[in-house]
Amino acid sequence: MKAAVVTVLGDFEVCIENYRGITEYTECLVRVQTKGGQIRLAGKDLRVEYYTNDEMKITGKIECIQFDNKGERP
Amino acid sequence: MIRSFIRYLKGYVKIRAEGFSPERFLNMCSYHQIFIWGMKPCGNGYEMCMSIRDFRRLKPLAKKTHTRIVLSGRYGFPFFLFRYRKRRAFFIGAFLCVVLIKTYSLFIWDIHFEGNSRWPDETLSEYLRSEGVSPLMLKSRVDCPGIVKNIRKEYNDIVWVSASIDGSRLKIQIKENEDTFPQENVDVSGEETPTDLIASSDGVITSIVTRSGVPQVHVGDRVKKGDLLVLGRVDVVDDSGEVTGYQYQRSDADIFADTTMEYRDEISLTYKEKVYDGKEKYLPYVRFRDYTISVGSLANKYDHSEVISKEQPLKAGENFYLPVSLGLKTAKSYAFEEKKYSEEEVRALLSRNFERFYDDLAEKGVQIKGNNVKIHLYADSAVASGTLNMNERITEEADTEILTIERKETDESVGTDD
Repeated sequence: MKAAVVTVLGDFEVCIENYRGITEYTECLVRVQTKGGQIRLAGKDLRVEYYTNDEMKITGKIECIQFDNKGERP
Repeated sequence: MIRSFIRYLKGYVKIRAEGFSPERFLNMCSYHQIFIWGMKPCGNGYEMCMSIRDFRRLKPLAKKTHTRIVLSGRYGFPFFLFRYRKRRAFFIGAFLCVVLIKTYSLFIWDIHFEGNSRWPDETLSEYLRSEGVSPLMLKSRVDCPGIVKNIRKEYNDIVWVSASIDGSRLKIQIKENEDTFPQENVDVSGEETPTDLIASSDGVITSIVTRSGVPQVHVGDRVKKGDLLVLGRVDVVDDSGEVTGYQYQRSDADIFADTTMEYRDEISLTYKEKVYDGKEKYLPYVRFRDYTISVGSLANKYDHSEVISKEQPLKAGENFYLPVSLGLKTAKSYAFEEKKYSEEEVRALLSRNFERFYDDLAEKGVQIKGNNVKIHLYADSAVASGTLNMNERITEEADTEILTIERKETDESVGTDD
């Protein structure tokens, strides 16, 4: 099981574990590559609090979390 | 909070990563276990914080990802030190501070007593000083078991002592024995000199409990002040009933008698009251042993004035008094104003005085059976007078001189018998 662990606290903090890397990061969009696909976080004033090999924390006003599993087959 | 403090202590840098694909750079960083925090997008790239150690490992990664790294800020204690490296006085001061704190902590600065109610702190610290234990002594010289032993030896009624060093303060915990106090009192005055008990005032005896000595009066007897109540001399008689000698002892008895007492309290209706007119002069001063430095003067032209001095010794801690005192002398001007008590006031005053007198008696163990104290008002004075009927202990220890004469007599009698 290498699924990403996404912990959301309110609408201001998201913690992502088991990811591969960041593919895009702007103030209103963060795209995180995971094994199964991508996670898109849209919002305002997004900041990466910390970023390590196994965990990252994003804070800001989060409006949408979207899982983009195009590459994965059922 | 703690994490940010540790970051500050270790020092960190803020960098900006710009280039073709800064995301790749970020992923490389995380792959190489480089901890990144406080990241935010900035123009073409990202701004982020990392520790100094990680920053030094960054060069190959930046090269590989074709990222340009711009150092935009240095934060933390190592940079702070580096920035002020030329301020020698600061470093000397910091070093001195550490040395002084270390030096000061080698001494006892304060002695704290706990649990003592009968022996005041001052007495105990005076005693300890005489034993060589005082503030400003070296901590290593303090001998806690010795202090405990000495206190126990010196004060019999202190049943438990603990001495411990708490930082630079010597803490002495004490447990006093409250029960032994009255007994000890007896012991102090209890030298075996024979004494009689005599009446301390006129009255009619109501009860006698004799513990030692020979009672000379009975219940119902009327006695006068100075009458012998209990004799401290016990006759020793032979078989024929003749006195062959005497045994002397300290008389001890509870003898209560009904007594009367005249009470009179006179108050003048007019009195002078001090009225302060608010004019004051101040003289603050600092006293160091016998030397006084003051500012200003108290010289004045007031008709009546009083000088109030307040002095406060400076102390460090609880019981370590410095030889410096701060004081303030105040000269207050006042005038006398003739005033007259109203009838209610004077009545209240007299009854308050009487109540206080009554309470004092009650506190001494005197039982008051009745009184006919009345208040009389005259033109310029008021008097409370009357008699009090009381029941009180009337024993008083007698003259020792009489006893020595009696002793001589007994010596003679013993001599003639022989």
